[in-house]
This record gives sequence, C-alpha cells and structure tokens, in this order.
Amino acid sequence: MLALPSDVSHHLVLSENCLNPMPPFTLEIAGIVDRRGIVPYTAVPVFRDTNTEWPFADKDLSADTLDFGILQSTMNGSGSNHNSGTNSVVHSAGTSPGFAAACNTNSTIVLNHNSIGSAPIRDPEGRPYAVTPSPRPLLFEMPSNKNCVLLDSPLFGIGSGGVLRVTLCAADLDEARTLYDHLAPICAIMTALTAATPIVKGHLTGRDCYWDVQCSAVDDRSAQERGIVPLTTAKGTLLKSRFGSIDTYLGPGPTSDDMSFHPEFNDCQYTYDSNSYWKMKNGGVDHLLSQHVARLFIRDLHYASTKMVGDTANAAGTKPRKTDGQEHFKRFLGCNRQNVCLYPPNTRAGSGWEIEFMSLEVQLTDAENAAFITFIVLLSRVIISYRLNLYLPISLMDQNMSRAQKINATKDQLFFFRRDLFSGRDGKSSSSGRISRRGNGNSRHSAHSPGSPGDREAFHRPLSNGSPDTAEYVELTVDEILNGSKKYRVTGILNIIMSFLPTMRLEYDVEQELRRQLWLVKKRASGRLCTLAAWMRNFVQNHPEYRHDSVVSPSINYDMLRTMSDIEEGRVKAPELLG
Amino acid sequence: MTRRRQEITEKVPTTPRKVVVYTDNLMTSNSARNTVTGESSSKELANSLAETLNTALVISTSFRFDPELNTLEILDPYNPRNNIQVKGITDYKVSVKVFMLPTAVDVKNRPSTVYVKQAMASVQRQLGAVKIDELVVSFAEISAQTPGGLNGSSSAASLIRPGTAQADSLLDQGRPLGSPGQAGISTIDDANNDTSTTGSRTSNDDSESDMSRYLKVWRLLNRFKRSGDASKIGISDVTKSQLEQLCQQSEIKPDIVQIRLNLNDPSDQSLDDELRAYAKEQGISVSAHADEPVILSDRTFQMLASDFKINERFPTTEVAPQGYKMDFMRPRWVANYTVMQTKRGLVANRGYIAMASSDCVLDPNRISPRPKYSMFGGFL
Repeated sequence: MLALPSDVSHHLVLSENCLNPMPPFTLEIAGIVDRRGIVPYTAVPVFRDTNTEWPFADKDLSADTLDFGILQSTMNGSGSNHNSGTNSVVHSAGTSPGFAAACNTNSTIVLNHNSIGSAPIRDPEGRPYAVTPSPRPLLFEMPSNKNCVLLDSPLFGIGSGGVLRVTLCAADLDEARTLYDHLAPICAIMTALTAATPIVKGHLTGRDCYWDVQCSAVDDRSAQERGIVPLTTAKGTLLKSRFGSIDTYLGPGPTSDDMSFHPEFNDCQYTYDSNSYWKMKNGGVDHLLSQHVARLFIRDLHYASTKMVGDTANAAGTKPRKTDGQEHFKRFLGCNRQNVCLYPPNTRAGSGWEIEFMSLEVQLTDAENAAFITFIVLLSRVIISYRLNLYLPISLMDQNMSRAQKINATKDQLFFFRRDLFSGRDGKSSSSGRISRRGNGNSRHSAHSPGSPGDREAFHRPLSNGSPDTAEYVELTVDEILNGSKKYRVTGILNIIMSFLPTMRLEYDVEQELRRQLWLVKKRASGRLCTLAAWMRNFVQNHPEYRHDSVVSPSINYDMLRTMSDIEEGRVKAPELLG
Repeated sequence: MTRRRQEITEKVPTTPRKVVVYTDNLMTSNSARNTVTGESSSKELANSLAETLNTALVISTSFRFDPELNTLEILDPYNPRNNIQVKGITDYKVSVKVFMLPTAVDVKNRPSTVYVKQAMASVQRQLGAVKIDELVVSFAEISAQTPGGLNGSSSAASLIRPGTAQADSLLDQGRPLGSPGQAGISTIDDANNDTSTTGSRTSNDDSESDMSRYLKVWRLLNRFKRSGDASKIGISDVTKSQLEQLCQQSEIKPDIVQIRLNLNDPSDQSLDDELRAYAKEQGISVSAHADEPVILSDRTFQMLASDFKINERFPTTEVAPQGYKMDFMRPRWVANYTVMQTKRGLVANRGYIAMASSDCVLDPNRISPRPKYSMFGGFL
C-alpha cells in the first residue's frame, strides 16, 4: 500500500480509504493542498429549521482555524473581511485542538510574508502579469463562516461529484465560440432546474446544488492570490477558484458577421497571464480568445506524466515517444473547469472543437438524465440554427449562478435573462438597452454596497429601469424563461425547441420520444414536478425520526436511499418527481 | 375606354393574373420571433408573407412582373442564404412539402398537376438546382378531416367545412368555378358540355371517389421520383383506408406518410396507431408535422393583398368577357422547403412560397342564359 504523503491524509472528516491511492489522485490532492498552503475548507450554510441549534457549530471542525475556502472575495475594502480572518488565524494558531499541523502551516504563511514556502513555481523572471481588462470590481455575496457545515478536503470536489458532462461537437472554431457563449447563460438555469444536493455531511443545508461546494473544495489559490496577504510573488489576485463560472465570453470570431456581442459584456475582473497572451496575439489569434487561453496559464498543473509532456529521459532507455503535447494540454485544460469549457481539437484522437457543458446535476433515474441531456443538445441545435442571442453581462450571470443554488430556486428565484433571443445578431436590437428589475426582495443580494447600483449596471447604454416588455434583460423565473411569458414578451426556450422539432423531419417514434423528454423538462420548469432536491427535503422533513434540527441521521439516510433506489428501479412510484 | 365587346365564342383570357411570393429564410428573419411560441404554422406563413411583401413592395421594390405570363413575382429580397456557413460541409438534405389548397383544382375538380409542377419549379428557382430529397404533398380537403375521426362517408361534411370557411370570406359573390366545397354547385364538364353536380357526394363510395381525385397528382409525384427529381415522395394526413386505397388504385406506394402531431400533448397518440402499423408493414416511414389543416385561407390572402396593394402592381387592365368577371386572387398552393444538415441536426434554410391566381368566374348578375361554352376553372 502506498504511503500517502502527510498532506493528503490530513483530513478528519473523510477516512483515508476514500482516496484512490493511484498517483494521479494523490498527486492532485497533494498539489492542491500544497499550493494553497493549507487544506481548502469549504463552508456550506446550514438550513435553519425550527429546532436547529443556532448559532450552529460544526461538531467536527472548528470555524476559528479556518482561512475559509471561499469561492469569491470582495475587492472593495478587501482589508476588512480578510483582515479579520487573518487575525483570527494568527490568534488561534496553536490553540485549537487537533489542528496543530494546519496551524503551523498557517502561521508560516502569515508570519513570513516573503517566503516562498510551499508556494508553487513562479515565473523565474518575475514578470508582471496583466490584470483585468475591466476596472470595475465585482460584488458578491460574502459567505460567512457562521452556521456552516465545514468540509475539509479537496476530495469533496474532485471527480466532479454528481455532475453530468455533456460534450458537444462543433464544426469549427466559430461555431464552438457561438456555442460556448450562448450556452453559458443557461448554466445557471440548468443548475437550478436539476438541483439535487440539499444534504451535505448529514445536515440539511441552505443550498440545493453542489456547484459552490465543488468549486471551493478544489480551490488551490494561495493566500496571496486570495488577497488575504499582500502580493509579492503571486501573479495577481484571483477572484475565483480554478473551478468556477466563466469569466469571459469568447465572442464571435474575427471573420464572423455576428454583431450581437459587445465587449462590455465581459465586465468582470479576472487575471490572465500576459506572457501567454502576447504569444498568442502575436501568433495571430484574436484578442478575446488569447485572453481566454491566457487565463488558464495563471493556474498551475499539479502533476503531469512524462509520457504526455514528451520528456526525453526515459528509465528504460528506449526511444521516447514523440508527442506534440496535445493530451498534456487537454489535461491542463481539465484543471480549469468552468460552466462551459472549450476543448481544442486533438488530431490524434480525431476529435474536433468541443464544448463541454458542466452544469447539470445527476438525477435519480436514467430517463431524467436523458431528458436533460436531450434538452441541452436540442438547445445547441436551436442556437445554431436560429442564431439565437443569449448574451448576458458576466456580472449578471454570476449573480444568476449564486441565486440558482438557493433553496427551491426553480420556483422562488428570479434570474436575469435576455428577453428577446432572436434579435441582436445584425447589430440592431428591438429592445431598449435596459434591465427590468422586479421589486422582489428575495432576489437582491444584501451584501451589495448601497452606493453602487448604478455602478453595477453601467452597461454600454445608459440604464434606467426599463419597462418589462421592452427591456433588454429582465428578471424571470425559470418557468418564464423556459416556457415563455406573454407579459414580458418572452418566447420560452422550450417553445422554440418544440417548434423546431418538426422541421428536422424525424421519424415519428423518435419525435414522440423527444417530445416526451422535453415534456418532462417543461413540467419541472413550471413547477408541476419537483426537483430532486425538493423531493429529498420533503422526504427528510416528513420522516418520523426527523427532529427538525437539520440533522439527517443515518437511519433517515438509509430510508431515503432505499426509497430512491426503489424509485429508480420502478418498484415505487413517485408522481411528484417523475410525472 | 370602351369596353370591348367580345363574342361569346372568343376565348377568355387564358393567362389569369398570378402572384408568387417567396418568403425569406425563416431561420434568420425577424418573423421567426413572432411565431415560435407554439402557434400555428399558418400564422407563421401569414407573418412571413407579410414581411416579404412589406420589404418587397413597400420598403424597397424587389418584385418582377412578367407580362407574358401575367405573373407578379415577389422574390425573397435577400436571396436565399443558408444561415449555417460552415466551410466544407456539403451534405444538405432538402425537404419540400406542397400544400394543395382547395382551389388548386382543374376542370374536373381534381387537384391539378400543373400546380405541383409550378411548385417544384419555384422551389428550384429559390434554392438553385437542388435535388429534392423528400417531396410530400398535402391536400387541403384531406387535411381538413379530423384525424382518424371521419371515414369517407362523412367526407362531404368535411369538405363543406373548408367551403364554408370560404363562404364567409370576402368573395362570396359569384360562385368560383374551381371550388369543390359547396353542395349543389354546378361544374361544367368540358368534355360533355352538360352540367353535372359534383358537390353532393353519395355516402357509400365516397372514399373511393375521394382518392381517385388525387390520382393524377399522385402519379405525377411518382414520375418525379422516377426521373430523379425527388428521392422520396409522401403524402400527409391520410387515414389508413385512404392510404390503402391510394396504394391500390395507383399501385404506387408513398415513401413517407405524415401525421399531424399535437404540439401540446405528447401523450396523445392513440389516433394513428392503425395507420402506423399499416405503414410499418408496408415499409413506409412515418413522420410528424405540426401544420395546420388550412395553411393559407382565402381571407388571409385577401387581407395581405389589400394591405400591400398587390392588385395595383398589375399594370395591365384585363377585361373579363361578357358574363364573367375577374375573380379575386385566391391562393392555390403553398410550398414549404427546408434545407438541413441531417447528420448534425441543424436547419440551414426554411421558407415558404405561395402562389395565388385569379381567373374568370361566372358573374352572378349575368344576363345571358346558361353557359354552354367552355369555361375553365383554375387554369394557368
């Protein structure tokens, strides 16, 4: 049995047996912990039920020692929150039980600002890295550590737990860019629609989806990159973990006549590697694509097999296999994962430009999974065939993503979305360039600083609150987005797909089957069928042993899993879930 | 201008006014926006026709008038452009569906093959000389039946339905010669020179006479298939018995049968099981469509014509001979073409072509006694 490096075995919540001892996995986990400096902690807010112990303290881990593995950080007044975090780390170093090793690592970083320590390899020449194209900072909800369930290992995120990955093949780069851009705004909607993870570590949580947990569990940004500690050797502050939602649109290619993209859509801060950027730009790649790829080079790969890199040294002394690094690059791309990912062609494997759609959570039955996959595939066909325009400013998209993970997002939350999907390609838009907001308190973030609503909305046209049926972007429920709404003059996406279907001239049986699948998606969107997360919550809360304290005991867990298995195999009917 | 006195034996204008309207590529045009909310394809057609007419006649003039053929052609202003420009992909599949409206009949009150030929020619004109992979024809009278509900015997009732729709349209003056729907209408049989009534159907051999009406067109389709112009031919909205008869009477089996799909309820498929089973045995592939029974009604076309002043575009003044008057333009056929990349499931180009013409009709206020001379309905 391989002896695991100490960093890897250093978590209290999971047993060592969870980790596959093969090098790719151990190296990955070790690498994440190593680069970050400490084990990435994830905090998942607990659902407050009637008898929940409040304030809630996780029994296994203590919040004090955490340098929290938060996903996003505010840049405004970055001192305040982080300083408190840093302070608490310093103060409690050595005082919390059982965390001696972690704290020592912490204090190393805190006290020795200039030491490289366990920091990864940096550019030896220390070249400055260009920061963001857009000066405006991003405001996010800052998850606090209070009343959270704590997870302390990258294992909770690696392996893309519970996510369906749909890979679509594009005919060429332009089509791939189109798909990348227009599938991104849908990610939040699909996350909400397929929500399936309300229970984490034995507690009901305040979220229905796994996306944030997954992203922060593999967060390998060092302390400097997270902005906690002043920048010395790091390339720049990074706002997001290496798994996250997309930072920038690719835009249409330079030869395309598509005019629906405006550079102001990319209104979020992100950092990219200027070295790589200039290399690509000088090689003839256009600006946005160069930036996109250069963004990847901010991160570090945790391991690479010599075979893939084409290392000439070989233990056996035989002639090394020549490789042009394609697999290596693909692995490198896989380290950075966003909502939608673009993969370049691999001439050896014969694949073309591919787009991976990552935001679907796994559902209970094969039929449901198939239905959602069908939906995404048909949506991509419709986007290309009708040349739909779904562009949304990135800041709005990120807000959507955080709204999508709240409890019952399908029914309760409003999402920003483009109202008129057909216009804009020829540069003209039939809408005023405004956002129509609904005065709904739930959908507002409380953490937004009061002085900046105008700031956030400074889109490329002067904004005021537009009227709902002419505004460019509106806040809609999932039902309205997918099924249409006369009031807001929104053509629902499902309606577009359903009317597109007969023009494909399919066989009758095939078309019937596809319609049935789309029907399932439609009912989920309209709320007639509940999401898996809602079903699970319902099950737990109606279970006789549940004491309304957000604790899911092993026996409740067992009953739930057994029921789910019965549903999957058809022994038990679940009409509220499957229709 | 003095009215020319025409002898009764003189021929009436043999080339009535024709209008052919081509719509823009529906995948990229603005009219797509208004019509994909699950509404009917007839609305889509009306909207896209309106848009083309608007662009061609009002905004910028892009129509052609051919005095020889007395045709006004309103072309797609942007020229057909496939919206999926991917270099190197050339395997497109073209699928055409021709809707024969109730007025597309010849003297014997049968759907006329001339119209089908016209439709094919127009499609070729629009798309270039492409090979048509699927050619499906839809007869308005058949499509108007409730799917699966009516058998042949009540087809009279069903045939009256499109007739009554026409009855409350704007043109209820004069009885148009071509329309079959109204019971008791007199049609002149040119061969025998006597009147016979066609509208009243006997209840027993209806289905038989029904399908035999369509034989001519069906045989034409088969000729297309044999000559290679169309790879597969099909028919839409027939019931099982009608399909059987068609196969037996003409000994030509269709390759495709289309069934109307109810967009709103996918679980409702009980109606056509018989048909599907039969088709499966015969090796006919079954596909679905969501087109309305009446894709372009006379009234809709009249409204379009008057909104966009089509009549004003015909520079010639035609004079109907005595006893006749010029009818309003009626739509005769509509063709729907779709160009798609089947392997990738993408639709590159989709549009409609509609043709309408007017002919001379019996003037109800005529003074002269029963007409004895050849009158044609629905000629070119």
